[in-house]
Amino acid sequence: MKKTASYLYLGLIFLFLYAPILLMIALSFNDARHGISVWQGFTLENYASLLKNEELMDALINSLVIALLSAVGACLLGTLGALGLNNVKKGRGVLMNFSNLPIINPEIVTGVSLMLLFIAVFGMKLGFFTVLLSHVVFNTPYVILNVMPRLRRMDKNLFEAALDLGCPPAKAFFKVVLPEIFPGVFAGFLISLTYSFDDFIISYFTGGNFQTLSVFVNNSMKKGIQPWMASMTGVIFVAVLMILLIMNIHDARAEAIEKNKISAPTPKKGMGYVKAAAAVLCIALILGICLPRVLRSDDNTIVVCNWGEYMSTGDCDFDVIAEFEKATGINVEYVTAESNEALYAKMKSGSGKYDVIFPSEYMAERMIDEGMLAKLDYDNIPNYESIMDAFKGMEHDPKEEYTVPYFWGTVGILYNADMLTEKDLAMMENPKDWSILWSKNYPNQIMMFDNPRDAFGIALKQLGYSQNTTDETEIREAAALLKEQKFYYGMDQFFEMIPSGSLAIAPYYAGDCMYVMEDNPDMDLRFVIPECGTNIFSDAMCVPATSRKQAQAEAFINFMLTAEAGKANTEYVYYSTPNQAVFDVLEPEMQENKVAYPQGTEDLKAFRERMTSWEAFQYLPVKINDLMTDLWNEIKTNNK
Amino acid sequence: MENRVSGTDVLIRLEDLCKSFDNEQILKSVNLYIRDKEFVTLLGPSGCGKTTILRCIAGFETPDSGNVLFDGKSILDTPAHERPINTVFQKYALFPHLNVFDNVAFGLRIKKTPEKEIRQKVRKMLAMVDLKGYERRPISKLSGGQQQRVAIARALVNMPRLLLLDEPLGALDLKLRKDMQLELKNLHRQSGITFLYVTHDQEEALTMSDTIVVMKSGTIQQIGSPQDIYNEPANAFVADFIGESNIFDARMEEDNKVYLCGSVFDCVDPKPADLVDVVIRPEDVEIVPAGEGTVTGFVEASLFKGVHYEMTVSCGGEQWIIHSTRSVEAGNTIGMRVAPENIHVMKRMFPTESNHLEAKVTEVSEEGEVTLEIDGESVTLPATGTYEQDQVLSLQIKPEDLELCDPDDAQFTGILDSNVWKGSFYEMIVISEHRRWLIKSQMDEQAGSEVAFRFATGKTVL
Repeated sequence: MKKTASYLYLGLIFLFLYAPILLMIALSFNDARHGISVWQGFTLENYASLLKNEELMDALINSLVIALLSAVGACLLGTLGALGLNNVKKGRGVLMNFSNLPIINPEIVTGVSLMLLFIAVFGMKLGFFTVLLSHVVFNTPYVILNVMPRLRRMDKNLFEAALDLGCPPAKAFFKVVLPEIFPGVFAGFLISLTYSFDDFIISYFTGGNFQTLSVFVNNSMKKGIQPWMASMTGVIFVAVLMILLIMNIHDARAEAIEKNKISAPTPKKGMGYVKAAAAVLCIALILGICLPRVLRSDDNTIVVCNWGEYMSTGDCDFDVIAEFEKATGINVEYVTAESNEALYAKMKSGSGKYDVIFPSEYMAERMIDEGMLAKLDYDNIPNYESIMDAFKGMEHDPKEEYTVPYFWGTVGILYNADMLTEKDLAMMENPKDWSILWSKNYPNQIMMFDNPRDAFGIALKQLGYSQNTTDETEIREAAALLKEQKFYYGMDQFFEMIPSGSLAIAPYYAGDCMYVMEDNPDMDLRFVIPECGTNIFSDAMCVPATSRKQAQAEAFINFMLTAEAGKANTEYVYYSTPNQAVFDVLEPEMQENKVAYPQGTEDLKAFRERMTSWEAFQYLPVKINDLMTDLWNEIKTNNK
Repeated sequence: MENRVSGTDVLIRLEDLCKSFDNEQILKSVNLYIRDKEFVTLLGPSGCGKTTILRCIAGFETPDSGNVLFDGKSILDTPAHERPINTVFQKYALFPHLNVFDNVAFGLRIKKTPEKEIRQKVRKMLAMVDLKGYERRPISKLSGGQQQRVAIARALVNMPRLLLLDEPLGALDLKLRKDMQLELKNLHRQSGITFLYVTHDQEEALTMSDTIVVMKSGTIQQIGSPQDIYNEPANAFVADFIGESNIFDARMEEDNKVYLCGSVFDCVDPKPADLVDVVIRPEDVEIVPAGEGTVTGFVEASLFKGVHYEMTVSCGGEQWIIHSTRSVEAGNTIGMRVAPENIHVMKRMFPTESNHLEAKVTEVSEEGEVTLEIDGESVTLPATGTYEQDQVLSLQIKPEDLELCDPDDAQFTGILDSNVWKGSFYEMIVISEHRRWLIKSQMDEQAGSEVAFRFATGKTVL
């Protein structure tokens, strides 16, 4: 009775421990097309999809390579460290405590400090090598911890005995000391391997865009639970279980030999060497296969930082990045930034190391001013020739040294004709100014840019001032004007709230307006630019001064200027191209679109010179910029 | 110190060898030579520097100055692994991951000896140390004595010119130690290899060696055959360290006459100085009927020791130890006689009878106390004479006017360099920062330890 109870108790404990894993394995066979947590039938698809998931496989290989290399590195460093520590006579205890500190230290401290070290001190790009170094750093104390007791227990005369028998020092170490401490080194190696594979926090901070398995899983969680997560963890669990079983069988066998239950296999001479050679060969093989794949991503890769949805990539007909990689053999890591200000902050802090960026003209001007951009070698960008004259030598880069125009556009008003009163509709046929935005007829249905520069720009235009004014009273007047209306402040919400009919009127970028209009042909959406003037903007392709791959970056810029790539981007983004070669191959329907190309048949340069009230943003002095930010915060609080 | 004649067959020679660790001088200008095929033992208390000499010869330590000559050539620039010397370590230092055979074969394999030859040599060597059939045993499965023999085999199989043995029997029990002493002596004879043996066990040294080198605090006290060392100890320290002995303060007024224990003894030594030490071995004291001896004594105790009786006899306040096959019961009075050739006269280790030092008067109090500055220390003593401020005194402090004391009450501190029982007191030589001190004490203390002492209370020095 008592025995049954104790078994029951044990069973409950194991159930408690293993229920989550069993559940996970069960769910890994779930046909989970409609959510993983509901059972919808048995399938092996989740396992098959593991192998097909390239990104996952890359992350897995990254993790394995990092684990192996960092464990080897930590073993080298840790063993040497332990040897040194062992020779210290005074203060070894204190030194040991220092060596153990990183183990107790919260990982977040290690992670953040290493990241800062790499960025701020060494100016390294976060990636494979920084993760590898970090893992070596946090694994080394574990190796020291495992080797030290072995060294302490070792007869101090062993090394001398080997010398005495004619062994040179290095040979004596390998023949006598290493075999003695090897179990410690090996234990350290295994611990390093598991901790490295397991690590998330440190890899997350020091990895930049380099993903280990745990970081990849974390990033994927942003898209929700994925069916492969269960099958992947299932595979890992089974693999660990197998290793454990093999080790147990091995131990049991060794014990039996010890008790002479089974006869020990006669050790053949040189078996040790064969085993060691096999192990080295295995590691070399794994690294040989995996390392080039990992390094490839690092070696010839440029990092392109663009705005969201601003390039024809991914599932498009013509993926410009894939085509570029195919044409040049250069790899592209594509990341996005939210705004000019965010991009600037990332570059200034050093956390963003990019090779190609797409700042707007006023930000490009500021970056040039602060020496953050590299002078381009236009010989590498022959396609620059086809840039329209109107976009060459613009105010922010008058000598054509730093920038290559990417897209341009204007800001106008998009309105839903079905929602406007007839009077307003008539007025909007040819509006003199932006006053419709201050109409009281459409409460909560008028949007305003949720960024100070664009919002102030419109208010200043409405008041008849320059968008680049440095007059404080004019800016305060504009702020007062913005406060008068209760706007809906938004940016990307535009793409949902116009089609859903939640917004009647919204000032926005011409390209995006066109996109929404094309996408909703059954709605009566119209776009107009008030007569009193607007903002005409252009975004430039630039190379940061910190880039070490300027030639590759210039090749990328040049590729974006080709007719094919430019056409694909234009058709995807709907913004206006500054590139004559691209413009020439656009569909006539697009070429004649007044929203994208308001100049019509007029020469663009002449048109721009005529339309003096269409202003390009300039970089504002810090004082004005700060004032604008302060007022902006006031406006936003007020609006609530 | 070196009083042997060095021949042409000198294998190793140490010249002015000095070595310090952490500012402590371990070897103070050691000179020594070892002849080919000789069995030399370095004997001395722990910390006397004997192991350091071994390590300098093996190449594990580099001397601060001086030279080590092997076959007449300096080997200081030869690294340890290239010296034709092998060592048997105190704790054996066997390689735990190798079995007995591989341990012994280690040196031969390094030398790339053909495997067949290795097998022959190792087998032969293992047979020589009585370990036939143990080839495949792991080291962890051997007893201490067996491990010891593996260690010796591992060193000897290389046929070195010189074998260094660092207290190799220290970890064994008494019986095993005695057996191994004989075995080692046999191995020495059979192999024809020069042995340099380190031990702190005087009996071991006397049993095995051709030549014994007695050391104390980094200096050699005496070099000689076991008989020389035993019968003609160079000083009280050697006499005390080797065997049992009666050591007395004595005085010589002329050659062949020595005055001790209130009587004059005949001896065969010329007079080296007025003040001498005399050593008489306990077995050299003849017991005669009371009144017939040179001196008369009272038997305080008699113990049976197997081969002989050990008697403690008091004679004029001094204690004698006598070994004799004939027992005299405690409580009897006996006469004692010593043959002139059995009285060994030695130079004193401390040259004068008392401590000579200078002191400056810094303060004179009205209660008859004087404060002196001695070696930078301030000492207040009772005084009977009249003294003046700043007067410089030349003092002669008798050894019995100093006493060991608690460190809290200490006026001086130093390292106890030697400690010899002289019949009625311990004669201590203490080395302080500024001088050597001679102290007579009733308390025993371990040589080499730090001691605190002061002017004896209740005695008037001034």
